[in-house]
Amino acid sequence: MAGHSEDKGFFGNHYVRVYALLLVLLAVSIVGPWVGETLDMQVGVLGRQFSLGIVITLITAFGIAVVKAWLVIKNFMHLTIERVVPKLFLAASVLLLALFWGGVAPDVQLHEGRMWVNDAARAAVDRGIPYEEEHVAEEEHAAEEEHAADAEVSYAGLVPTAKSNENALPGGYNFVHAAFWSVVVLVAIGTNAVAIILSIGILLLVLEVMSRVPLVQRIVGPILERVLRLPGMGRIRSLLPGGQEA
Amino acid sequence: MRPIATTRAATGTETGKLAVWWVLASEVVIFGGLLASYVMFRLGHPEWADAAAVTNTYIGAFNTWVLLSSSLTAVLAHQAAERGDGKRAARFLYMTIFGAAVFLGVKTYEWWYEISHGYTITSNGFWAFYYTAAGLHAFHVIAGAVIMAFVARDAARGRELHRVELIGIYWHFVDIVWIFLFPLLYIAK
Repeated sequence: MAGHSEDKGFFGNHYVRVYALLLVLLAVSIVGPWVGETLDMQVGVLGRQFSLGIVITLITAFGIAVVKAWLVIKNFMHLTIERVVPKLFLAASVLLLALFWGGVAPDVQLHEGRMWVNDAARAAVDRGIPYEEEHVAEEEHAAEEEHAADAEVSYAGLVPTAKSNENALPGGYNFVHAAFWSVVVLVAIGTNAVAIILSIGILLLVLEVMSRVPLVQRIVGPILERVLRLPGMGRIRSLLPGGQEA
Repeated sequence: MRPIATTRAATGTETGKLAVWWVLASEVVIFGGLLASYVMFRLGHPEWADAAAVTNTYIGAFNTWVLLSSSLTAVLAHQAAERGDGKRAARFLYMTIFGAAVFLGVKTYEWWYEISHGYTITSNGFWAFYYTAAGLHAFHVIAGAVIMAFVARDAARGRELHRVELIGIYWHFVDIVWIFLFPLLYIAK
Protein backbone atom coordinates (compact mmCIF):
# COMPACT_ATOMS: atom_id res chain seq x y z
CA MET A 1 0.00 0.00 0.00
CA ALA A 2 3.02 2.25 0.25
CA GLY A 3 3.46 2.44 -3.51
CA HIS A 4 2.07 5.96 -3.80
CA SER A 5 5.06 7.42 -5.55
CA GLU A 6 7.40 6.43 -8.27
CA ASP A 7 11.07 7.36 -8.19
CA LYS A 8 10.78 11.14 -8.56
CA GLY A 9 13.56 11.99 -6.12
CA PHE A 10 13.27 12.73 -2.41
CA PHE A 11 11.04 15.83 -2.73
CA GLY A 12 8.86 14.20 -5.37
CA ASN A 13 7.95 11.46 -2.91
CA HIS A 14 4.27 11.61 -1.86
CA TYR A 15 5.15 10.99 1.79
CA VAL A 16 7.71 13.79 1.86
CA ARG A 17 5.09 16.21 0.49
CA VAL A 18 2.61 15.13 3.18
CA TYR A 19 5.38 15.59 5.78
CA ALA A 20 6.05 19.13 4.49
CA LEU A 21 2.34 19.94 4.80
CA LEU A 22 2.36 18.57 8.38
CA LEU A 23 5.26 20.88 9.25
CA VAL A 24 3.41 23.89 7.83
CA LEU A 25 0.37 22.97 9.93
CA LEU A 26 2.60 22.55 13.00
CA ALA A 27 3.93 26.07 12.47
CA VAL A 28 0.38 27.44 12.16
CA SER A 29 -0.69 25.63 15.35
CA ILE A 30 2.10 27.44 17.25
CA VAL A 31 1.75 30.89 15.66
CA GLY A 32 -2.10 30.90 15.77
CA PRO A 33 -2.50 30.78 19.58
CA TRP A 34 0.40 33.22 19.93
CA VAL A 35 -1.45 35.71 17.68
CA GLY A 36 -4.71 34.88 19.49
CA GLU A 37 -3.21 35.91 22.85
CA THR A 38 -2.44 39.39 21.53
CA LEU A 39 -5.98 40.06 20.26
CA ASP A 40 -8.53 41.69 22.53
CA MET A 41 -11.71 41.54 20.46
CA GLN A 42 -15.09 39.88 20.79
CA VAL A 43 -16.90 38.01 18.03
CA GLY A 44 -20.51 36.90 17.88
CA VAL A 45 -21.08 33.21 17.10
CA LEU A 46 -24.66 31.87 17.05
CA GLY A 47 -25.85 34.83 19.06
CA ARG A 48 -23.19 34.50 21.78
CA GLN A 49 -20.08 36.62 22.32
CA PHE A 50 -16.67 34.95 22.36
CA SER A 51 -13.13 36.26 22.65
CA LEU A 52 -11.58 36.32 19.15
CA GLY A 53 -8.27 35.18 20.64
CA ILE A 54 -9.88 32.05 22.12
CA VAL A 55 -11.67 31.27 18.83
CA ILE A 56 -8.36 31.55 16.92
CA THR A 57 -6.58 29.39 19.52
CA LEU A 58 -9.27 26.70 19.34
CA ILE A 59 -9.20 26.61 15.53
CA THR A 60 -5.42 26.76 15.07
CA ALA A 61 -4.46 24.48 17.97
CA PHE A 62 -7.22 21.87 18.11
CA GLY A 63 -8.77 22.16 14.64
CA ILE A 64 -5.36 21.78 13.04
CA ALA A 65 -4.52 18.87 15.36
CA VAL A 66 -7.52 17.02 13.90
CA VAL A 67 -6.35 17.82 10.34
CA LYS A 68 -2.79 16.67 11.13
CA ALA A 69 -4.10 13.44 12.68
CA TRP A 70 -6.27 12.81 9.60
CA LEU A 71 -3.31 13.37 7.25
CA VAL A 72 -1.29 10.77 9.19
CA ILE A 73 -4.22 8.30 9.31
CA LYS A 74 -4.95 8.63 5.59
CA ASN A 75 -1.47 8.92 4.11
CA PHE A 76 0.85 7.12 6.53
CA MET A 77 -1.45 4.48 8.07
CA HIS A 78 -3.48 4.00 4.85
CA LEU A 79 -6.65 3.40 6.86
CA THR A 80 -8.92 4.75 4.10
CA ILE A 81 -7.88 1.94 1.74
CA GLU A 82 -7.94 -0.71 4.46
CA ARG A 83 -10.59 -3.46 4.59
CA VAL A 84 -13.78 -2.94 6.57
CA VAL A 85 -12.93 -4.99 9.71
CA PRO A 86 -10.15 -2.70 11.07
CA LYS A 87 -12.42 0.29 10.46
CA LEU A 88 -15.16 -1.43 12.49
CA PHE A 89 -12.71 -2.07 15.36
CA LEU A 90 -11.80 1.60 15.48
CA ALA A 91 -15.39 2.81 15.04
CA ALA A 92 -16.47 0.64 18.00
CA SER A 93 -13.71 2.14 20.16
CA VAL A 94 -14.60 5.70 19.20
CA LEU A 95 -18.28 4.97 19.91
CA LEU A 96 -17.40 3.60 23.36
CA LEU A 97 -15.36 6.73 23.97
CA ALA A 98 -18.25 8.97 22.93
CA LEU A 99 -20.57 7.08 25.31
CA PHE A 100 -18.04 7.51 28.10
CA TRP A 101 -17.80 11.23 27.44
CA GLY A 102 -21.55 11.69 27.11
CA GLY A 103 -22.23 9.83 30.33
CA VAL A 104 -19.53 11.38 32.48
CA ALA A 105 -19.18 14.94 31.15
CA PRO A 106 -22.35 16.33 32.79
CA ASP A 107 -20.95 15.36 36.19
CA VAL A 108 -17.34 16.39 35.67
CA GLN A 109 -17.30 19.48 33.48
CA LEU A 110 -19.97 21.27 35.51
CA HIS A 111 -19.89 21.81 39.23
CA GLU A 112 -23.60 22.19 39.72
CA GLY A 113 -26.73 20.90 38.07
CA ARG A 114 -30.44 21.31 38.57
CA MET A 115 -30.48 19.23 41.75
CA TRP A 116 -26.86 18.91 42.84
CA VAL A 117 -23.71 20.82 43.72
CA ASN A 118 -20.12 19.54 43.69
CA ASP A 119 -18.75 21.45 46.68
CA ALA A 120 -15.31 19.81 46.56
CA ALA A 121 -14.72 20.86 42.92
CA ARG A 122 -15.93 24.39 43.61
CA ALA A 123 -13.62 24.63 46.61
CA ALA A 124 -10.70 23.42 44.44
CA VAL A 125 -11.38 26.18 41.91
CA ASP A 126 -11.62 28.75 44.70
CA ARG A 127 -8.33 27.60 46.21
CA GLY A 128 -6.60 27.79 42.83
CA ILE A 129 -7.79 31.27 41.84
CA PRO A 130 -6.94 33.96 44.41
CA TYR A 131 -9.80 36.41 44.89
CA GLU A 132 -9.68 40.07 45.85
CA GLU A 133 -10.90 40.63 49.42
CA GLU A 134 -13.91 42.57 48.17
CA HIS A 135 -14.76 39.70 45.83
CA VAL A 136 -14.51 37.21 48.70
CA ALA A 137 -16.97 39.27 50.77
CA GLU A 138 -19.40 39.34 47.83
CA GLU A 139 -19.03 35.59 47.38
CA GLU A 140 -19.69 34.96 51.08
CA HIS A 141 -22.76 37.15 50.98
CA ALA A 142 -24.05 35.36 47.87
CA ALA A 143 -23.32 31.97 49.49
CA GLU A 144 -25.33 32.95 52.57
CA GLU A 145 -28.30 33.95 50.43
CA GLU A 146 -28.02 30.75 48.44
CA HIS A 147 -27.85 28.74 51.67
CA ALA A 148 -30.99 30.40 52.92
CA ALA A 149 -32.76 29.58 49.66
CA ASP A 150 -31.50 25.97 49.83
CA ALA A 151 -32.86 25.60 53.35
CA GLU A 152 -36.37 26.22 52.06
CA VAL A 153 -36.08 23.63 49.29
CA SER A 154 -34.02 21.32 51.52
CA TYR A 155 -31.64 19.52 49.22
CA ALA A 156 -27.87 19.30 49.51
CA GLY A 157 -25.77 17.56 46.93
CA LEU A 158 -27.18 14.46 45.26
CA VAL A 159 -30.50 14.15 47.03
CA PRO A 160 -33.72 13.54 45.11
CA THR A 161 -36.53 16.00 45.58
CA ALA A 162 -40.26 15.86 45.13
CA LYS A 163 -39.90 17.59 41.76
CA SER A 164 -39.79 14.28 39.90
CA ASN A 165 -40.16 15.86 36.45
CA GLU A 166 -36.95 17.82 36.99
CA ASN A 167 -35.11 14.69 38.11
CA ALA A 168 -35.45 13.19 34.66
CA LEU A 169 -33.93 16.20 32.87
CA PRO A 170 -30.18 16.57 32.12
CA GLY A 171 -28.46 17.44 35.38
CA GLY A 172 -31.34 15.99 37.43
CA TYR A 173 -30.89 13.20 39.97
CA ASN A 174 -32.40 10.35 37.93
CA PHE A 175 -30.81 11.51 34.68
CA VAL A 176 -27.32 11.64 36.16
CA HIS A 177 -27.71 8.23 37.79
CA ALA A 178 -29.12 6.65 34.63
CA ALA A 179 -26.21 8.03 32.60
CA PHE A 180 -23.70 6.90 35.21
CA TRP A 181 -24.98 3.34 35.49
CA SER A 182 -25.33 3.02 31.71
CA VAL A 183 -21.64 3.82 31.40
CA VAL A 184 -20.77 1.39 34.20
CA VAL A 185 -22.74 -1.41 32.50
CA LEU A 186 -21.19 -0.66 29.09
CA VAL A 187 -17.68 -0.60 30.52
CA ALA A 188 -18.34 -3.82 32.43
CA ILE A 189 -19.61 -5.57 29.30
CA GLY A 190 -16.78 -4.14 27.20
CA THR A 191 -13.96 -5.07 29.56
CA ASN A 192 -15.34 -8.57 30.11
CA ALA A 193 -15.75 -9.12 26.37
CA VAL A 194 -12.15 -8.05 25.77
CA ALA A 195 -10.94 -10.34 28.56
CA ILE A 196 -12.87 -13.31 27.16
CA ILE A 197 -11.66 -12.70 23.59
CA LEU A 198 -8.05 -12.32 24.74
CA SER A 199 -8.33 -15.51 26.82
CA ILE A 200 -9.59 -17.45 23.80
CA GLY A 201 -6.73 -16.02 21.71
CA ILE A 202 -4.13 -17.00 24.30
CA LEU A 203 -5.67 -20.49 24.58
CA LEU A 204 -5.43 -20.91 20.79
CA LEU A 205 -1.81 -19.77 20.82
CA VAL A 206 -0.98 -22.21 23.62
CA LEU A 207 -2.69 -25.03 21.71
CA GLU A 208 -0.77 -24.14 18.56
CA VAL A 209 2.56 -24.16 20.40
CA MET A 210 1.68 -27.40 22.19
CA SER A 211 0.72 -29.02 18.90
CA ARG A 212 4.33 -28.69 17.74
CA VAL A 213 5.70 -30.76 20.64
CA PRO A 214 6.29 -34.32 19.29
CA LEU A 215 5.08 -36.01 22.49
CA VAL A 216 1.81 -34.05 22.40
CA GLN A 217 1.43 -34.83 18.69
CA ARG A 218 1.76 -38.57 19.38
CA ILE A 219 -0.71 -38.57 22.27
CA VAL A 220 -3.26 -35.92 21.29
CA GLY A 221 -3.01 -36.40 17.51
CA PRO A 222 -4.91 -39.70 17.27
CA ILE A 223 -7.57 -38.50 19.74
CA LEU A 224 -8.09 -35.30 17.75
CA GLU A 225 -8.30 -37.28 14.51
CA ARG A 226 -11.15 -39.37 15.97
CA VAL A 227 -12.96 -36.33 17.34
CA LEU A 228 -12.76 -34.57 13.97
CA ARG A 229 -14.28 -37.60 12.22
CA LEU A 230 -17.40 -37.41 14.41
CA PRO A 231 -20.62 -36.35 12.64
CA GLY A 232 -21.12 -32.58 12.48
CA MET A 233 -17.40 -31.80 12.68
CA GLY A 234 -17.06 -31.17 8.93
CA ARG A 235 -17.20 -27.40 9.30
CA ILE A 236 -14.42 -27.35 11.92
CA ARG A 237 -12.34 -29.78 9.78
CA SER A 238 -12.59 -27.41 6.84
CA LEU A 239 -11.33 -24.50 8.96
CA LEU A 240 -8.11 -26.30 9.95
CA PRO A 241 -4.96 -25.97 7.80
CA GLY A 242 -5.18 -28.54 5.03
CA GLY A 243 -8.70 -29.36 6.12
CA GLN A 244 -10.27 -28.67 2.75
CA GLU A 245 -8.02 -31.16 1.02
CA ALA A 246 -8.76 -33.89 3.59
CA MET B 1 5.41 -24.96 8.76
CA ARG B 2 4.34 -21.35 9.37
CA PRO B 3 1.95 -20.47 12.21
CA ILE B 4 -1.74 -20.10 11.36
CA ALA B 5 -1.54 -16.40 12.25
CA THR B 6 0.55 -15.67 9.16
CA THR B 7 -1.12 -18.04 6.71
CA ARG B 8 -4.82 -17.40 7.16
CA ALA B 9 -6.82 -14.19 6.62
CA ALA B 10 -10.51 -14.90 7.21
CA THR B 11 -11.37 -11.16 7.22
CA GLY B 12 -9.44 -10.28 4.07
CA THR B 13 -6.81 -8.48 6.17
CA GLU B 14 -3.58 -10.25 7.13
CA THR B 15 -3.95 -11.63 10.65
CA GLY B 16 -0.88 -9.78 11.88
CA LYS B 17 -2.16 -6.45 10.62
CA LEU B 18 -5.60 -7.19 12.03
CA ALA B 19 -3.97 -7.77 15.42
CA VAL B 20 -2.19 -4.40 15.22
CA TRP B 21 -5.48 -2.64 14.43
CA TRP B 22 -7.07 -4.52 17.33
CA VAL B 23 -4.35 -3.26 19.67
CA LEU B 24 -4.83 0.28 18.35
CA ALA B 25 -8.60 0.05 18.88
CA SER B 26 -7.92 -0.69 22.56
CA GLU B 27 -5.35 2.11 22.64
CA VAL B 28 -8.01 4.52 21.33
CA VAL B 29 -10.04 3.80 24.46
CA ILE B 30 -7.02 4.00 26.77
CA PHE B 31 -5.60 7.29 25.48
CA GLY B 32 -9.00 8.63 24.42
CA GLY B 33 -10.43 8.01 27.89
CA LEU B 34 -7.45 9.69 29.52
CA LEU B 35 -7.54 12.72 27.22
CA ALA B 36 -11.35 13.00 27.40
CA SER B 37 -11.12 12.99 31.21
CA TYR B 38 -8.42 15.66 31.05
CA VAL B 39 -10.54 17.89 28.79
CA MET B 40 -13.59 17.46 31.03
CA PHE B 41 -11.64 18.41 34.16
CA ARG B 42 -9.77 21.21 32.39
CA LEU B 43 -13.06 22.81 31.33
CA GLY B 44 -14.29 22.64 34.92
CA HIS B 45 -11.05 23.96 36.46
CA PRO B 46 -9.95 27.31 35.01
CA GLU B 47 -7.29 27.52 37.73
CA TRP B 48 -5.28 24.82 35.90
CA ALA B 49 -4.29 27.51 33.39
CA ASP B 50 -1.62 28.71 35.86
CA ALA B 51 -0.06 25.25 35.93
CA ALA B 52 -0.36 24.83 32.15
CA ALA B 53 1.51 28.12 31.67
CA VAL B 54 4.63 26.43 33.10
CA THR B 55 4.98 23.88 30.26
CA ASN B 56 7.34 25.00 27.49
CA THR B 57 5.54 25.31 24.12
CA TYR B 58 8.79 25.38 22.14
CA ILE B 59 10.03 22.13 23.68
CA GLY B 60 6.66 20.54 22.96
CA ALA B 61 6.78 21.83 19.37
CA PHE B 62 10.31 20.48 18.92
CA ASN B 63 9.20 17.04 20.11
CA THR B 64 6.19 17.21 17.75
CA TRP B 65 8.59 17.88 14.87
CA VAL B 66 10.76 14.95 16.00
CA LEU B 67 7.78 12.55 16.07
CA LEU B 68 6.41 13.78 12.71
CA SER B 69 9.88 13.23 11.21
CA SER B 70 10.07 9.75 12.73
CA SER B 71 6.65 8.98 11.21
CA LEU B 72 8.04 9.98 7.81
CA THR B 73 11.02 7.63 8.18
CA ALA B 74 8.66 4.85 9.37
CA VAL B 75 6.47 5.17 6.26
CA LEU B 76 9.56 5.40 4.01
CA ALA B 77 10.73 2.14 5.62
CA HIS B 78 7.36 0.62 4.72
CA GLN B 79 7.75 1.87 1.14
CA ALA B 80 11.22 0.31 0.91
CA ALA B 81 9.94 -2.97 2.38
CA GLU B 82 7.15 -3.14 -0.21
CA ARG B 83 9.79 -2.82 -2.92
CA GLY B 84 11.67 -5.71 -1.30
CA ASP B 85 14.62 -3.56 -0.20
CA GLY B 86 15.12 -4.85 3.36
CA LYS B 87 18.41 -3.03 3.93
CA ARG B 88 16.93 0.36 3.04
CA ALA B 89 13.86 -0.39 5.19
CA ALA B 90 16.14 -1.23 8.12
CA ARG B 91 18.07 2.03 7.66
CA PHE B 92 14.83 4.03 7.84
CA LEU B 93 13.70 2.06 10.88
CA TYR B 94 16.99 2.82 12.65
CA MET B 95 16.40 6.51 11.86
CA THR B 96 12.95 6.18 13.43
CA ILE B 97 14.51 4.66 16.55
CA PHE B 98 16.94 7.60 16.64
CA GLY B 99 13.90 9.92 16.56
CA ALA B 100 12.41 8.01 19.50
CA ALA B 101 15.68 8.42 21.42
CA VAL B 102 15.77 12.17 20.75
CA PHE B 103 12.11 12.49 21.83
CA LEU B 104 12.79 10.62 25.08
CA GLY B 105 15.97 12.64 25.73
CA VAL B 106 14.07 15.92 25.39
CA LYS B 107 11.25 14.56 27.56
CA THR B 108 13.75 13.54 30.24
CA TYR B 109 15.23 17.05 30.32
CA GLU B 110 11.74 18.56 30.46
CA TRP B 111 10.64 16.37 33.34
CA TRP B 112 13.91 16.92 35.20
CA TYR B 113 13.40 20.69 34.89
CA GLU B 114 9.75 20.56 36.02
CA ILE B 115 10.30 18.15 38.91
CA SER B 116 13.34 20.10 40.14
CA HIS B 117 11.13 23.22 40.25
CA GLY B 118 8.58 21.45 42.44
CA TYR B 119 5.98 20.49 39.81
CA THR B 120 5.41 16.82 40.62
CA ILE B 121 2.62 14.36 39.90
CA THR B 122 1.01 15.19 43.27
CA SER B 123 1.17 19.00 42.86
CA ASN B 124 -2.37 19.34 41.50
CA GLY B 125 -4.83 17.84 39.03
CA PHE B 126 -3.11 19.34 35.97
CA TRP B 127 0.29 17.88 36.85
CA ALA B 128 -1.29 14.52 37.69
CA PHE B 129 -2.77 14.39 34.17
CA TYR B 130 0.39 15.82 32.60
CA TYR B 131 2.70 13.15 34.03
CA THR B 132 0.20 10.32 33.54
CA ALA B 133 -0.58 11.15 29.89
CA ALA B 134 2.98 12.06 28.88
CA GLY B 135 4.37 9.10 30.86
CA LEU B 136 1.98 6.61 29.27
CA HIS B 137 2.86 8.04 25.85
CA ALA B 138 6.61 7.84 26.58
CA PHE B 139 6.14 4.21 27.63
CA HIS B 140 4.56 3.53 24.21
CA VAL B 141 7.49 5.28 22.51
CA ILE B 142 9.95 3.03 24.38
CA ALA B 143 7.95 -0.13 23.57
CA GLY B 144 7.68 0.86 19.89
CA ALA B 145 11.42 1.57 19.62
CA VAL B 146 12.33 -1.80 21.16
CA ILE B 147 9.99 -3.74 18.86
CA MET B 148 11.23 -1.70 15.90
CA ALA B 149 14.83 -2.71 16.68
CA PHE B 150 13.85 -6.40 16.34
CA VAL B 151 11.91 -5.74 13.12
CA ALA B 152 14.83 -3.72 11.68
CA ARG B 153 17.31 -6.49 12.46
CA ASP B 154 15.17 -8.99 10.57
CA ALA B 155 14.48 -6.54 7.72
CA ALA B 156 18.22 -5.91 7.22
CA ARG B 157 18.54 -9.65 6.51
CA GLY B 158 15.55 -9.54 4.15
CA ARG B 159 13.32 -11.48 6.55
CA GLU B 160 9.69 -10.82 7.61
CA LEU B 161 9.43 -7.58 5.64
CA HIS B 162 5.65 -7.42 6.15
CA ARG B 163 6.34 -6.57 9.80
CA VAL B 164 7.81 -3.21 8.76
CA GLU B 165 4.31 -1.99 7.89
CA LEU B 166 2.87 -3.39 11.13
CA ILE B 167 5.30 -1.56 13.42
CA GLY B 168 4.84 1.53 11.22
CA ILE B 169 1.08 1.58 11.82
CA TYR B 170 1.69 1.38 15.56
CA TRP B 171 4.29 4.16 15.35
CA HIS B 172 1.96 6.50 13.45
CA PHE B 173 -0.64 5.97 16.18
CA VAL B 174 1.91 7.01 18.83
CA ASP B 175 2.54 10.10 16.68
CA ILE B 176 -1.20 10.89 16.50
CA VAL B 177 -1.54 10.67 20.29
CA TRP B 178 1.24 13.25 20.61
CA ILE B 179 -0.43 15.47 17.98
CA PHE B 180 -3.35 15.78 20.44
CA LEU B 181 -1.25 15.91 23.61
CA PHE B 182 0.75 18.85 22.27
CA PRO B 183 -2.12 21.40 22.09
CA LEU B 184 -3.78 20.02 25.22
CA LEU B 185 -0.73 20.18 27.49
CA TYR B 186 1.43 22.86 25.89
CA ILE B 187 -0.68 25.31 23.87
CA ALA B 188 -3.93 25.67 25.87
CA LYS B 189 -2.68 28.01 28.62
